[in-house]
Amino acid sequence: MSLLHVDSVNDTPATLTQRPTNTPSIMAWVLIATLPGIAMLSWHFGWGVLSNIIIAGALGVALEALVLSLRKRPLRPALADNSALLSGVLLGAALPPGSAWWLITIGMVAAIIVAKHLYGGLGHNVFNPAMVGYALLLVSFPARMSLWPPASGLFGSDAISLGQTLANVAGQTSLATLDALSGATPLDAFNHKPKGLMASEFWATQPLPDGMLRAVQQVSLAWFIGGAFLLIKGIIGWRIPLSLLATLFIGASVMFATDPSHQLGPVLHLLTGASIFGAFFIATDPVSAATSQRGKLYYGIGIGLLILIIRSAGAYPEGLAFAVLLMNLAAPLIDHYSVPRAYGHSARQDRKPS
Amino acid sequence: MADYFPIPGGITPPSRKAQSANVPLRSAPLPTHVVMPLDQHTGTPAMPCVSVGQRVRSGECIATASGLLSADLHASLSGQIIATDAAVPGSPQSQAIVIKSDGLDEWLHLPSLNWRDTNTETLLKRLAQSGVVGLGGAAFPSHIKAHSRQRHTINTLIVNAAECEPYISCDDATLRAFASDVLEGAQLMAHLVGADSILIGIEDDKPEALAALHASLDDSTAQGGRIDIRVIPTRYPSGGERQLIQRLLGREVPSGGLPADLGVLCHNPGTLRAALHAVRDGIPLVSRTVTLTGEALTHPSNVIARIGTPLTALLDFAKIDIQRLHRLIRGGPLMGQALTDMNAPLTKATNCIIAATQQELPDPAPEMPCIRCAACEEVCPSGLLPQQLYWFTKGQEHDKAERWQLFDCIECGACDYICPSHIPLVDYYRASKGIIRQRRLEAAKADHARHRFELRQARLARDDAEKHARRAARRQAASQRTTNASRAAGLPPAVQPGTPPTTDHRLIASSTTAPEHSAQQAPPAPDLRSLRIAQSAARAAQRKAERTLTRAIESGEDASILADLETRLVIAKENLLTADAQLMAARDSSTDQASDSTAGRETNSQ
Repeated sequence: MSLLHVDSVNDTPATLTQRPTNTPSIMAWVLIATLPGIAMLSWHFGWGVLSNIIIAGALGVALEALVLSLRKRPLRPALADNSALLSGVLLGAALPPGSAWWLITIGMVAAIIVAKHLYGGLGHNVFNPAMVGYALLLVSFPARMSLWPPASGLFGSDAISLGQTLANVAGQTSLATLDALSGATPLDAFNHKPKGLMASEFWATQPLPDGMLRAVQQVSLAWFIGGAFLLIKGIIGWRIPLSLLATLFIGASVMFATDPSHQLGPVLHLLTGASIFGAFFIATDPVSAATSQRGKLYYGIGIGLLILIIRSAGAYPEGLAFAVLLMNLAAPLIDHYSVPRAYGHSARQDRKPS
Repeated sequence: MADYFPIPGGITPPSRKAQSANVPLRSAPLPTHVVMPLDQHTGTPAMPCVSVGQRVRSGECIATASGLLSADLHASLSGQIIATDAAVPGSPQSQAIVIKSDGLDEWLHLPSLNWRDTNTETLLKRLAQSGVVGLGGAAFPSHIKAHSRQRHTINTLIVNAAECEPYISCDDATLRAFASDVLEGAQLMAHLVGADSILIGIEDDKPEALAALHASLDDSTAQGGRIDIRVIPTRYPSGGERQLIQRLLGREVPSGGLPADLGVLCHNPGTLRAALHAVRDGIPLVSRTVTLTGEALTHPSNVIARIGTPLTALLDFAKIDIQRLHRLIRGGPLMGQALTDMNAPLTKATNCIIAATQQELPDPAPEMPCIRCAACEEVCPSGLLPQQLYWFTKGQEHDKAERWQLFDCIECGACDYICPSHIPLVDYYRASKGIIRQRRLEAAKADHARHRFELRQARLARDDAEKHARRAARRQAASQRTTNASRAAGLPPAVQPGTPPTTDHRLIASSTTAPEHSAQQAPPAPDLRSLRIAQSAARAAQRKAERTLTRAIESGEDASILADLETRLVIAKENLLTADAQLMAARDSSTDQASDSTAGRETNSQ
């Protein structure tokens, strides 16, 4: 084995764009990269974003510790790797702001205990833990999962107060009250567009609360900034995000060109909903993604196509979670058919090892 | 055109060469005794040819090559043999000859040769006699490498002066001090294998060595031959043989193949100098340049030291500070091995000794789970998927690892170096390769047993066939005699007018068309054509067996595999002899029959 490791080399001072040299710091940098997105989400959607993330993150660490002690594994190295915290933060950012504690708990139990540790812990999970939690909640509590508050900001006069948020989190607010407090997200609203209505007529009815469209687009841009940082830092590669977003953009453009009156435009596909967040923070989870460079392209394309299909033909307004989980399932197959050509081999012979 | 081609992967670890490279090359003092392991080369250990108590001079052969892939070993000191089966400190499975110095350093030289007008056979013999092996680390016997001329057309000799691994600077030092020797050595080896061009690949962090090469290049090229110096970027592992070939020529050595398949041979500067010494000066390989470095040494430098010198002597010479020593490494920090015993000897393959402090090369951090971040994949120079190989090797799925080209891994350690989870990937790969090799060896052993049985059968068949052939020959001779006798009695000649002379072709034709006539009178005529086919098949099989064996030797296969291949070659030879004998017998009996039938016709016509 190599007796020299990049992690212990300090011959030259480290630079900011240098790739992190150990797993805990990789996770820590991903956490840092979520900050712009979280900040923008909170700015527009209020305290509920922070409560989600704090509760989910804390639950992530607590559940990880619980399972590790049940499995009689050393706690410290596994907790120090920040991976459970990251899963919590990602799920917290994806849930409707101000979700009730029990909802978050169910999601995190599914994420950490079922999706991660029942498969063997970090590095062994077949599915993206945060998306397993999200998908479980989506199919089990569809009503609660569609209750996004309006983009009324943190401090504005019509903002949801901290007290109200805490009451929501404690589960003391009834579903009807919550419904009254919430507004539709653009994808949600468009998904409920009556069949007969043309897209232009639909948008003319102003189906969204004030500032909603602008808010979700700014949130997407903030996630993009974090994602670009991950790219520069060398923590994620360009292949999955680019192939995913390009597929989504091209596919949406083709669909829009063929049927502009009933389709969402490509820009709306990219900038509303979870496309950017998913492309940079969810699909790039290396553990559950395809392995080889070529495989990653196929993987990203697959997710892009599935998102498009689910959004335009499915019952759910957003398809990211299901698309990612389905492609997680396909990753081993992709790996099998995308083994790269090794040194000294002809291209043909290595396409398919069997 | 750029001077070099792109190579995939690679890392840029800190070089840490300055501490040893920038100090002048020194000679280490003669040790009081040397420990000479018998297995300092790829292949079978050498056989001692001296006895305890015998006095030897420096340069005298003390152990001879045994088996197909092996190398001679020479005394590196004059003195008395005090053991021929001593255990080697640090590697208990090896045996060593120990020589106690008499302090005189008396030499036994071989006659010096002028390589420009000495024939190839003599030169090859001289290399073999001098125990020259590759000094870059693999220690492959040089005379066997040079033999590849027999099967390949070699057009390029590459001098591998890349020396890409951190700390190591012995080739750098060799080039700085003896550039002209290295160039002449390169010309010698190129001459030996028939290469008409010499390429020197050197990384751009060695300006002094480069200058020395340029300075002596003018003298060398004046004497003929094309020598090109190619400066390549500093990037580990560009000094890997296959990587350097890709860097310089833009071509890949086929998987499982040899550089010779591309018409290329690679040599390390130290090896070339050793080869030149062996030929020009008649000095066998008894010393080498080695880098002594690491922060625990007060005087790091490159030294020329006798093979077999205990490392303690060298480390004392470099003024080691034992208090600060944290780990001792033989080789580089990426591919080398940690030493447990400071009394281990300097071997032909040892290019570097690192006496590292705790701060310099700390203990590896605990292994964490693989998150498949693909950092390893990015640095892999062989284009493999190290994270998948890790998965398979850890899960004992060795067949799968093999299908994912485990054996194309050159164990450079770039993946180990970069892995953010501190997984000792190469350890997993080595273990898996070991298990697969073990399985192959067992299969080879079973094959070998079967082949030995086949060999016995083949021998019996050959004896049988030869007996038949002799009998047929006798019969034919006898019938010839009768024919001659009848001819002498005044009977008309057997051959009718117009019948062509009895050539082989004629015989085959007649024997294949004959059976209908002669079926009743004589046993069925042997099918000459199929026997001829069998004979040429046997000849092809023998040639193939020869090729496979040579190739296995050149690729440094395990001795038991070589033994099996050797048996198969002997079987093929026996089979060829059998086929020869059968064919001869068939020919004899068919001429016999032909003369019988003509004789019959004669009787009828009478």
